[in-house]
Amino acid sequence: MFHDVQTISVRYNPFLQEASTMRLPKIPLQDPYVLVDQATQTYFLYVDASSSRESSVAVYQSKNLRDWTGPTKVYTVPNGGWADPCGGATAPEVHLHAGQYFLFTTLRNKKTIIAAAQQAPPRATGTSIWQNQTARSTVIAVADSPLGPFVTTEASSRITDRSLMTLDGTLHTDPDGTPWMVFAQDWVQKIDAVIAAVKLKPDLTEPAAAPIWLFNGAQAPWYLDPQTGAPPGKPPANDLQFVPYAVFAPQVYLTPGRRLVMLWSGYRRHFTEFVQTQATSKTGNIAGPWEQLAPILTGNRGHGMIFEAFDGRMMMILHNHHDQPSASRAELHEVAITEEGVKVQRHRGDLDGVAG
Amino acid sequence: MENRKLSLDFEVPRPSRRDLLRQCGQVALGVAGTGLLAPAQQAPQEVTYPFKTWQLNGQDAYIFADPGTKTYYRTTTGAPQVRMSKNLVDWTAPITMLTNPPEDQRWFSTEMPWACEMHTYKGKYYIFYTRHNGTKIVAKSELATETNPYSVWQTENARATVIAVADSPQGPFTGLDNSRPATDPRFMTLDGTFIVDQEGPWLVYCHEWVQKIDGGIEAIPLTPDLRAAAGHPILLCRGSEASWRRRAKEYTQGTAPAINATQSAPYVTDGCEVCRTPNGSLLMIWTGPGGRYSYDEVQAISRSGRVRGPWEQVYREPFMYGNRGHGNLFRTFEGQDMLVVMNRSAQGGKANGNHSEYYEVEISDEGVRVVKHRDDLDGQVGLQFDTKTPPDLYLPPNLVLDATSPAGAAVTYTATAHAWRQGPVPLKASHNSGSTFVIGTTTVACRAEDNAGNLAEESFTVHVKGAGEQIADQLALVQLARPKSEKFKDALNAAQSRLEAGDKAGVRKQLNAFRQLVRAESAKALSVSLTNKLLANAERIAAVIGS
Repeated sequence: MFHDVQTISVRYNPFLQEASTMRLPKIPLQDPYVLVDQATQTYFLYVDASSSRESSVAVYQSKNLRDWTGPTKVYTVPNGGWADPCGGATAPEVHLHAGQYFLFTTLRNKKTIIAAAQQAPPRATGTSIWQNQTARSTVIAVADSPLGPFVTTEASSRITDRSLMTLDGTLHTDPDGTPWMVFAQDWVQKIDAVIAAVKLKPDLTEPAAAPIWLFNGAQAPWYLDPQTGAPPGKPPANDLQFVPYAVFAPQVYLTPGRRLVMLWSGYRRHFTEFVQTQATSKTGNIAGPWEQLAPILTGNRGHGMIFEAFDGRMMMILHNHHDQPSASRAELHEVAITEEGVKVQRHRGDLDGVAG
Repeated sequence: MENRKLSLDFEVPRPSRRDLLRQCGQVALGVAGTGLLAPAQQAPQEVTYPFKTWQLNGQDAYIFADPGTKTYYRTTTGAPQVRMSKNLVDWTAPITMLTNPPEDQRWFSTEMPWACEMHTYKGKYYIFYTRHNGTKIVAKSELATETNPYSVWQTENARATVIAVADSPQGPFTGLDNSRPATDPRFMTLDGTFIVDQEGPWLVYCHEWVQKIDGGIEAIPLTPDLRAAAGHPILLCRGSEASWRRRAKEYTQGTAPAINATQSAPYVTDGCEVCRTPNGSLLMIWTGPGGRYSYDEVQAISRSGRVRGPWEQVYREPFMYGNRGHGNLFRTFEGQDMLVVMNRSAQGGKANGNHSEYYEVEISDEGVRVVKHRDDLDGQVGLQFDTKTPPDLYLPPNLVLDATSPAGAAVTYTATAHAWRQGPVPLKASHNSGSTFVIGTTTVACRAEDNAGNLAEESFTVHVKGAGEQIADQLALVQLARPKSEKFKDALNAAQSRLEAGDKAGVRKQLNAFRQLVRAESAKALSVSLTNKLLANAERIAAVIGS
């Protein structure tokens, strides 16, 4: 996320957790992620629960996607690592892989400067650093339960090279079981941000090869669109500098015909509108080639993921009010994963409590 | 474009003005008050062509073939001068085409003009060339911060294409409107060119990467007299769309790994030129430098034949590379389509440095195809194309799927091949998509060949799981629910042992028992979604067992 780390005042209270339920409008969040646990028939909703004193990931639980209990703290950013213990733990997600639960979350350390900003001299060729680049990476932590406690190792907190600003890492598994972390490389570092993938060792504790490039933010489908590609009130041909091509939140799914569809998020209208968009790899290969498709949901909604509910419906959860983080809440939509990409079937306002 | 090396045409040892006039065979008819030559009103007598192509600087050289005079006119970056030739090799001394109007009558300074090109329209001759004014600051650079991340990266100054008209290709040309460019004065643009479609005349230009970071190619409709804009500008494409940037194999910076910490370089757009294909489509060539191609020429096509597009980048290797670009297409008087291109670092020919090269080309809706280098015309070694690159194969990952019958499974997959110099090529596979794969592992060998005979061969495997593997998967799946009862496990283990004993009826019986157990626990110990999967799997396993 390009926003500063969102601080949600969340305290772990074991009595409260058991005693009361709440609806999603009571849970301020961005980057929602739901793990579907067949053992307990429970939905686990992971959120960044960092406060000014510590950075942590918490989970809310529900049996029906409507009524939630929690939060329960499942991971705390440790002291003594590369990450600032107060730097946030964004875009947490948990995957069940080979019998264990793996938490992917993005940590930061603004005190560790990778490259300092330099003003470009006249007619520079672009090698100047546009803004300060600081430490930011997705880490992988493991636990035996969806409730944690999740722990990282030295290697698993260094999946990508420390020179890289990475975020929003997720797990993708080839049909033969080969695991990958698919992640975004930050626009702060690249200007034209990158979606990349790194093959992991089977236990997800370290990379198995160098990362590969999947696509760039500049490939988003809207930049030539007269309505959505340009700043509000301007045509696509205008006098303004392009804003950086940002990419966030890759999530990869298999279609029935063995293509891949990737959810990802970015900005249209000159960084004023966050959208949930998608791309497809028709070969089914994570290496692509990736072809961009039309956005799925717009209007400052995004960073979504898809899960199969216990009733067999495919659901997409994502956050709204991206431009106003304190107002961001989860939305739930029934979707279909087709050969032509993800289609929204209907909004489930009955579940998420969001009007419209 | 960055770091233009402005060694100029007029830096070439040149004759005095008197010599020049004599060479051109013209009487010195100065146009009163302009200091310019009069148009060649009389047929030149004794025109001499003392300069060879390789003696001339090639910076942004443009060739205009004038059918009326059967003469080639060559313009470049530098002072607005033109040279003439009858054969593309031998050139006259430069003739000044126009002079700067007085300072209070022009928006631009006397800084070096760029990229002059010539067109004819409705019986008149026009030059399009880029002027600047370093003292007119459009936006000042400021350091980006976290709270101001979209700051102006570089200081931007006035720069735009100026259009001038004359009755003769030798001039004298007069600026149509020296007070302001046809484009918005806040736009920092360059390398404007001219094309007419059914809507009328257009100025097509590059929008500076200095202003945009991701440089653009844009177009603005012109009034019938080309004096001003007749509408709003439109965006045709961006530098980031250069075909090679979309190919994973090009996504490296030198020897760095594909994913590295280096900030993306700005995406430069240079030297756009538009022509019409025999089919009526518009073809645009442009320079999209970077990567291993250095300065290079890529292309885009508008199959509607309209400037408004939609424009589609031709997904192929740049048709010129190795520090070559900013070319233009013209047709010789013999009817041969020709590309003249700037080689910014020519070596090994008759002269090193920045020089023009000529290539015979074919223009079609497939794009520009380079047929032949004309060293007889340019004295250079020319581009040695890498014709050894095998096609790119895009294959599925190794597939693992479930058999649906004793025969295995019908497997559909997508695999394609693309020859980087040529375009899509057919892919041949040992097992076609949609064919039935037997239980077990099958290697699918894929191959594709390009026109030059380069062969690419790769393979992937298809593993079709038989009943035994599927029963094991089924057990793992039901265990996800961590059922308290062992009955699911017992039924599946029994099915597995019946399978090993070759007892099909026994397997079916156990699978039926399993199905009943699952149904009984649906929405109880097992979720509906898990139940549905387990039942579908059990049915499929029974089908794999066969009767």
